Amino acid sequence: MRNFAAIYSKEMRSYFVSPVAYVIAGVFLFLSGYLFRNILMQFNLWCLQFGQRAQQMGGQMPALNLNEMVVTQFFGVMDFIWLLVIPMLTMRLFAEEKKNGTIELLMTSPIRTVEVMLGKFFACFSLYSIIVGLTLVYFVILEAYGSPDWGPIFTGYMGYLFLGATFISVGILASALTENQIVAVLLTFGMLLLFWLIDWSASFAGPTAAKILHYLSFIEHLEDFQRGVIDSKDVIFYLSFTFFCLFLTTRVIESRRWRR
Amino acid sequence: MKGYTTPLGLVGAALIVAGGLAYLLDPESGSVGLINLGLGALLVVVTGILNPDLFRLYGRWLNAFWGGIMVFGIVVMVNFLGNRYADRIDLTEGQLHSVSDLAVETLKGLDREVRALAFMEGGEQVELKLLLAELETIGDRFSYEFVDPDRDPVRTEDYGIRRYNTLVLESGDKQQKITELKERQIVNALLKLTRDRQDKVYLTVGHGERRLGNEPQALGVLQARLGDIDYSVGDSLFLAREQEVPEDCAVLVVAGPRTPFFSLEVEAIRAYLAEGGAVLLLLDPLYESGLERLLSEWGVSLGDDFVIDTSGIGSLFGLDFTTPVAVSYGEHPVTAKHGGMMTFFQLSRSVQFSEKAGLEGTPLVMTSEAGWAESDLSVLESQGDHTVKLDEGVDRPGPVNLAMAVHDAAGGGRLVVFGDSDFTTNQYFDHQGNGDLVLNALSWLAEDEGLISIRPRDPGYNPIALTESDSEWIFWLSVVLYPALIALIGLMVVSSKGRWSLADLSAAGLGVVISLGIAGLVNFMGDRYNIRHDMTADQLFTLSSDTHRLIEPLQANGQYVKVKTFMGEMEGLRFQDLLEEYGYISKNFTHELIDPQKNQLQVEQNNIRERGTSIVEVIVDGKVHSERITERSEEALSNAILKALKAKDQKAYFTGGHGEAELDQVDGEGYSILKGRLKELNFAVESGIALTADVPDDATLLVVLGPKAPFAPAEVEILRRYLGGGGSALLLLDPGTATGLEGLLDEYSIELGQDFVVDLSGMGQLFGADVSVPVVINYGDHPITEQLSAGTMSFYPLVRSVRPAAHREKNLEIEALVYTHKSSWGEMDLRPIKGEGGKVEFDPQVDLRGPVSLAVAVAADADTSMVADGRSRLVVFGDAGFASNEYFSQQANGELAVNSINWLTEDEDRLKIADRQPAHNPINLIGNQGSVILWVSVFILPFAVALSGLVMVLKRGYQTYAAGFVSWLVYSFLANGLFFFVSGVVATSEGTVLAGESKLLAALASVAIGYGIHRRASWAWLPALVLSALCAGMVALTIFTGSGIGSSLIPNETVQLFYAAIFVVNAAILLWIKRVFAEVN
Repeated sequence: MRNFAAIYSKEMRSYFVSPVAYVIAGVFLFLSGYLFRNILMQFNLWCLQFGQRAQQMGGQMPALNLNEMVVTQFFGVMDFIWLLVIPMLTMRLFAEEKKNGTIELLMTSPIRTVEVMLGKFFACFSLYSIIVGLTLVYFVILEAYGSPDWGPIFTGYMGYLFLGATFISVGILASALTENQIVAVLLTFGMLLLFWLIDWSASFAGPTAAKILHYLSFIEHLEDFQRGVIDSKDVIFYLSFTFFCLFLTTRVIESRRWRR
Repeated sequence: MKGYTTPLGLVGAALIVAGGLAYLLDPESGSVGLINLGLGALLVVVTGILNPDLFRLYGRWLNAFWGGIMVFGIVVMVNFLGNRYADRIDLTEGQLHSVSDLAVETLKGLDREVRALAFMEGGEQVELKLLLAELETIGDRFSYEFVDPDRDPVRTEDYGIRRYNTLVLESGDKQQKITELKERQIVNALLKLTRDRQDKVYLTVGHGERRLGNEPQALGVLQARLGDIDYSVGDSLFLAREQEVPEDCAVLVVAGPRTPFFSLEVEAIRAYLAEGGAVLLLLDPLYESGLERLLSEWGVSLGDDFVIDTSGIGSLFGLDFTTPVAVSYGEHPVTAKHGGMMTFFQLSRSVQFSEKAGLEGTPLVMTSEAGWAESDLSVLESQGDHTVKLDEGVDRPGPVNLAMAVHDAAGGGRLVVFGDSDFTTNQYFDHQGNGDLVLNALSWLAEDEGLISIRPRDPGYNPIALTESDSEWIFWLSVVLYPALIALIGLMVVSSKGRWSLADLSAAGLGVVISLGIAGLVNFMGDRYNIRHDMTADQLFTLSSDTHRLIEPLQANGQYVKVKTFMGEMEGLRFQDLLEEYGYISKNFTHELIDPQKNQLQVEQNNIRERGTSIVEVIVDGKVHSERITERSEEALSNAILKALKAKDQKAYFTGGHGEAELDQVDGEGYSILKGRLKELNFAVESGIALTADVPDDATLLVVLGPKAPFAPAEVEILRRYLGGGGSALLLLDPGTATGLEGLLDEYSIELGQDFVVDLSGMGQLFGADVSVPVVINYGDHPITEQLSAGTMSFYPLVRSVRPAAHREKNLEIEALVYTHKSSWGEMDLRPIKGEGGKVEFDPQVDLRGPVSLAVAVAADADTSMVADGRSRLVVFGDAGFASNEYFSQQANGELAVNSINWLTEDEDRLKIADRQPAHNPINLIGNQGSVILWVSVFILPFAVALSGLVMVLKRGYQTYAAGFVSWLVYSFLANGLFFFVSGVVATSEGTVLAGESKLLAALASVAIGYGIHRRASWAWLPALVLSALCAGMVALTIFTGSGIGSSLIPNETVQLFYAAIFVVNAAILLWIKRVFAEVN
């Protein structure tokens, strides 16, 4: 446990002492803030234009719902930004150590590979959670001007934590596979995007294949969370995916011990 | 002294520029500007006198300056000229060089001069000019001219031009104006201008044919395209009434009839053709048209089949093998221009021609070799997984003819027959060559061959055609093989270093496989046994407890529910969510989404008419009960499931003992078909029950079928109790017989006419009957009749009037179901039908004036003394014969009977489930709230985070960041100087002397301070701080009070905020790096 803490705090320090964390957080918040604001203003415009009519027409047009049209929309675009950002967070975790040769030190030290891996994983996950947590400000703003339903917001954030863990585990695996950070970024990005878009091909596949492809899709499982429904199968999907990637990572790292 | 000459000279130069600019901007009030100019010149001269060396220096600067001006000027000129004389060389296919075939034909065939006048804003438009120039080169009778409406108001007035960019085509004294300046519109206008004919196309009605309109299945687009070329289209030709084709009919179109034509109508068409008329028949498979005999006279035989196409081309439109795609065409004027084009026919039958003397028949459209005409129609009608294959000797092998054109050279008659009507509908008209094919066929029929062509596409039409195997090949090549190849090369390069042994690789592979297996297993279990929790405040994704009660016991009871919904993946998303939720309740609930466009076969098999229809199948002990709904809500779905679950208990009782009609009789007068349909509707039928005791409790429906003798009062009492207790009854009461039920019906506000209805519209003759057979095409607004296809007929051999009475004794809703034509009446004199003589004649005193109602439906609250609640339902027809074997399957008769039974037995204890839609929850931002959000979310939060990072970095050293800040300050003060300079110039040009001069002064000060900071001179520090405070304070004051100097300086609120923020930051920086200034001095 102490070893884990040591690795964890070392990684956290390296994020926060260098400008990396700030730049990533700043750029991410700028982008998501910009998107949030635009989505909100668009919704506000609709409210002004159609507000009266929507009530008169009843079921004729979709209700102007803050959660459906702002919160869900915002979550929908934010996960795509994460798709681009997470590879940058994870790329150096192992690749840098391998490039610098410091991985040999870690391997020869009495720290277990799992501890190293978990330390790095949770450091990255903490940074991710902090940045995600900062976006809560937007919903405080919403609360100030309207009355959002906090249930879906809560589940949406839950979904983000699961999604982030999955993304980061993929990133760590990619980082462990190579000593080149650019390769790590591209590998991560490629894998994430593949699983992102995988259910697209479901519409051209046979019924059973389609079901499996749908199931493998990252967004498919996020949808329930973003709508406000917690389903155990989604949780199991994300957790098992994360676990699987992390497991492979330890195998890959440990393979250095016996590889010639 | 010399030290001050440089700034003096600079100030002079700045004043010259400021004064000159101000004068140029507004020479009228330019005295201030001129004064500034003079002052500047004076200062420059003074500087020159004091320090002549400086001028040499300035000279070089001026050189550079003029050089810059020149280059700038050249760039501007080039851009301006480029914009002014834009010429486009268009390398895209089909813009410059492919004026459409129709345009070429039309222009070549012009028999008079046509002149185009383009009234363009500014007098020209490049694209139009190119197009017109291209058109001018074809033939030699077309010319054009551009007119600038502003410069030539007289002509503009003459032509009555109201808006810019109007094109007038003129020939003789005829004119056409168009404002949409595309090739198609121009060509259409040309056609209208030069054609001296106006043809009329008639569509027949009365047999469920396709109508004009905007729905996907209608023919609105066809009508519009015909209108473009001056054809008018009428869709009110009810041949049964008119009895002949109108004189002015250029082409008669029969578009997809659903019920057979009557011999009288066929006779009218035959006569029309014989006189040299032209007929376009679009006859879908599965439906008998009644025209078969006539067609065989014309040598055409319709296959009793549908065409299969396994070439796989249909899949590229998302269509299945029931949609043949034709690529080869016969040699005929209609298809002369179609070579290489695709047309497709959703569910088509084959059309054959056999030689006949004097007739010239040509096949128009053929499928590929991979098609055949499948004669096993059960594939379409049965709801099963039938497969199709080419049966030698039975099915007609490909290529199959899908259309025929026949020309009677002697009589002049022209006939075109297609085995399909879908290809002309709005949905498919604009696809590939479909629209052109039908337009060309019409042109040929109307003997207007000049119009036969392939019409121009709107630009941007650029489809791609892939077969299934193509797309598979693309997948493998681009997604699998290609990346794999690269990866393989990489692997070879890497592995040449020899770091991995085979043992290592297999060990690693095994590890991956095992862990993958475990992960898969966990996910499989997780998917099977999942728990869901709905966190939304309105429980949007939670189904009602009623639904839970309905679905949860399915598994325990061994029942299965299967829902097939016919809609696209992106439609009805909310309903799709709902279906998912049903599936989470029980594993015995499954649903399937069927895209109607991709599964035409299933659409036909299930007879789906409306997108969004769901078929609910409940399977108990291997027996299937099905229900269908079109509404997409939890309420509708749960009720459909409930109804299907209960279906096995339904019982229909038929009364007996009054000479009622025989149910089991199979000849024309019997009702065995009705009985069969009841069985199909999950009813157990029991006939001939005598009303001696109460109607059995398990009766879902009571039917009185054409009694010949009156009911006794005791029996009526039993009926009254049955109805009062919430029962449902269907009464079919023939005229001319006393029923004894009049009193009971009166209680339900139904007036049973003691008459028979006479219809003089003459349509009864169609069935070989007389005026006593009213034919109905008007239906009431009621669930029973709303599903009837528009324009279908129903008819009633010998019927009495049944209508809603004026009085209401019970709380009830009553609606008349069918109305006769207004030329009919209810004849009170019953002698003619009893064979006692008498005369059928309308007597306004006694008889009931048409339109007469022949049936009513009543829903009334049940008698509370008998049952707590419930509704009684009653449907009364004035005739039983319409549902007899002879008439049941004709026209809409059967449908009407079945719909009535369905409505009568609709479940009374419907589940009431409120539809949960996302609530109306808007937001209203007013005033500056929007910009506050902008600042908080886009600027403050990200910058706060980024700044905290900056602080971390800054800890590293003072000197480095001080240098950075100094240059930031220099730039911001210089920019501020420029800003004040510009606004000073504007102010002086506007004549506000004080503001202008003070702004110029401020500009000077700002620049001077910037210079001082650059030198890190200690004298600059305090003025810099003061100026920062002034700038920030001044603007901040404006922001908070809403007025003041700031608002004249910067009108935009956001920019004000930004400006103030910059100077607050500047002041802070100045305070922070004060040390720098002290150190230097």
